[in-house]
Amino acid sequence: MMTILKPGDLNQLKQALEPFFVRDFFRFAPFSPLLLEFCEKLSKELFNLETAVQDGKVMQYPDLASLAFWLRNKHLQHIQNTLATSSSNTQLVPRGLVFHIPPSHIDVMLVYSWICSLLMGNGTIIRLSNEQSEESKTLLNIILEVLAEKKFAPLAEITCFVQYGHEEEFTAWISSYAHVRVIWGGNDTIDKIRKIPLQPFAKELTFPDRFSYAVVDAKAFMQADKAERKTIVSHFFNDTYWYDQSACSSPRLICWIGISSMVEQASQDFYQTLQNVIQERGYEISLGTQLYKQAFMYDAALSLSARKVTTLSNELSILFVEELSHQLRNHCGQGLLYHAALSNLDGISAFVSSHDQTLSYYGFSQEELKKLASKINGKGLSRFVPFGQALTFETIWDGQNLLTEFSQTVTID
Amino acid sequence: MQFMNIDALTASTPYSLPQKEKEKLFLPQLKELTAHHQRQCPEYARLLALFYPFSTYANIVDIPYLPVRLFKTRELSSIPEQRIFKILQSSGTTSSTPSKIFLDAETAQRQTKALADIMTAWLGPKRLPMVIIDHANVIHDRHQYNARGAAIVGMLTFGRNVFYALNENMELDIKGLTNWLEKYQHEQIVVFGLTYLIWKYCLAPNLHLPIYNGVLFHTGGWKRLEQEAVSNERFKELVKKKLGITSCHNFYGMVEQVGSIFVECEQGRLHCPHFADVVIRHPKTWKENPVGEVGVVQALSLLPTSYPGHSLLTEDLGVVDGIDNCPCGRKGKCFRIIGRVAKAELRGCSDTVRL
Repeated sequence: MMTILKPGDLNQLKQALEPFFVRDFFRFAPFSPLLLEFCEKLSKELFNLETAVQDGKVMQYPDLASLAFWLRNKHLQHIQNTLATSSSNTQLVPRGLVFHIPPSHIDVMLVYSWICSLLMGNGTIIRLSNEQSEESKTLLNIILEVLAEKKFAPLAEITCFVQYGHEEEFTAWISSYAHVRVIWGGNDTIDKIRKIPLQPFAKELTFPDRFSYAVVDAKAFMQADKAERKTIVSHFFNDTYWYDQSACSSPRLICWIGISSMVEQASQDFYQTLQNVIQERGYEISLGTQLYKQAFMYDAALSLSARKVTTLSNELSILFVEELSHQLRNHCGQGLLYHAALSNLDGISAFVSSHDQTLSYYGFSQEELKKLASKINGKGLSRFVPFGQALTFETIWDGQNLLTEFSQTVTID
Repeated sequence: MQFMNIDALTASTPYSLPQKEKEKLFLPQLKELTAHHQRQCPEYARLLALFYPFSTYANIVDIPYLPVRLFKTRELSSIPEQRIFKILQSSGTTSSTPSKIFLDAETAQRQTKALADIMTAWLGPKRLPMVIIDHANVIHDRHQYNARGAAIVGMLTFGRNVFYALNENMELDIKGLTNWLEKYQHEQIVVFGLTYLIWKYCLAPNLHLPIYNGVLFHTGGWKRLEQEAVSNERFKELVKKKLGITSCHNFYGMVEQVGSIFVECEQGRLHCPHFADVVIRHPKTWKENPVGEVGVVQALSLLPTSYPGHSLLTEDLGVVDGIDNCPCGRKGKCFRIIGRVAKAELRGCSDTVRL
């Protein structure tokens, strides 16, 4: 079932989906050759897109390029090797039918989670909202084209896209067949859909709104030479600006660790270099976004009792706060950084909460971060990544191993 | 509170001072207002310290401004609670939070006086029979009404024998209106309403109203008419054809600066009265744009003393057409509004973006 279903009412939906639901969703073992072949083909098509020229313009979707890279056979095999699909007395098997509910537009993150469930051999039903961005449409078309190839018919048969609005009855009916339901935030959406029952044995994965931040060792940063500092800041730029600072794992707060004179010097250099990188990359936000951000910033400056605000351009403002408070998690993205100075790394642990996902770092050893993680002990922050990797998708996401979440473990004694 | 006297700026007609002379009177008062709000509104003082730490205000363009949107999330007031006389709210649609503007009796009076000075300049000193293209209930609760109500209440001062042309079901009372028009056919009358409502009830339907000696004022923005592809020129054409009115004036204003309106002259240009002004800013450098270059409109007004709204960055795009040189003869800056800044489209993991 490769076409996109667009049901008008529940009866139409039922009629269209009934033949789908009786299919065998247990036909593929995890990492079956056909599944890997499909990913390889999808990867190739996405790479081709990178060089495609449309309307005289080279299409630029850097996140699709990362996806293409991630889907390469070699990389997937590496993932497979790190996962013990079978041991002497256990075996990983699919869960069955996975129902994916992405945010309003199908973004690349959803494809990653979908591929994880597909690699584990599951059937798929994906809800698409009526509004799709240009990039989403492009991505969707490529997926549909590859699925339409004859050799992938067995996979296409257990893959279905349904496009509908916010009809809860549709979600409820599809949920009644799912073995796993995956909901990507907003938190309001999760709250709403959670109330819809699942089969007793089915499970649910949720990816709520998250807050992420960065820590920098001021001394280590100043010890790097000028070229290095530029590289570090460029990595930070990628982490932060790729999705207009709206990705859950993009840093919004930057915690500077060190003595205050060093922090002052290092942060000034950092922000000026960041402004230079923004200009070099030609990154710009729209005027409407700027006006929205400006008003947000004035409001936040009052709520957070800001010590200082520095605006280097429409694309970069820094709001200096005296202490870490929960209110920092209310943030507009779009090139606003909250700046906090702390004397040591341990200082952030009191602030960490279950809303927090990724800590991007520079200048700290794994030892130090492991100690920090032990101190936090699950209160929040499930990823610690060096600058430049905040947006890199990993099969362990939000502290959940997606491959094992999308499978069942059978024991044979 | 004893505060500045705007009479000096409204002595003759509100459009008689050349820009340079006007600024000589205008700037010191703006500075005084800024200092006043700094003393009376702690949030304003805090924001100025953060966003304008080193400012000296040598020119009008140096006067600090607040984003107009801030009045949606913050209750900014320069008066103690017991002095609140009225709270104005922008006509926030269901999806947006309305602005909240706190008025004391003094600011309200200044608004009325300022509006009177402007309207007198266009209509003369005599009150004229008035038709309002709306229904009477819009102004029912005088203590808390929206921008639409505020605009109507403001206009009522200049009319007499007022006729509300819409009934409570928002239908045009053609019979009542025709009778009323017949009664005043030998006098000059004034018609007022929101741009969109006038279009919807008087210009779009297939009707013809015999108004021969009327002046039309309308406001409220062009957003909905843009959707209907009705330009200001087309609007004027229809007003002439369907209502017989040749004198048709749009005006630009906002609930955050009630009383301070910019009226369109016969040349289709908006004029700044003595106690108000605009600065068009470049959307990246935020410096003042030269004449002829479109930018973001900053609106300045000497009227707000009860809330720090004397200098606001709007979300409208505009362009200054000239200074002291409008063919209509009015002095000062004349400008046009080009449209609203396109709303931000924010992306992210979340599907619920709060704007």
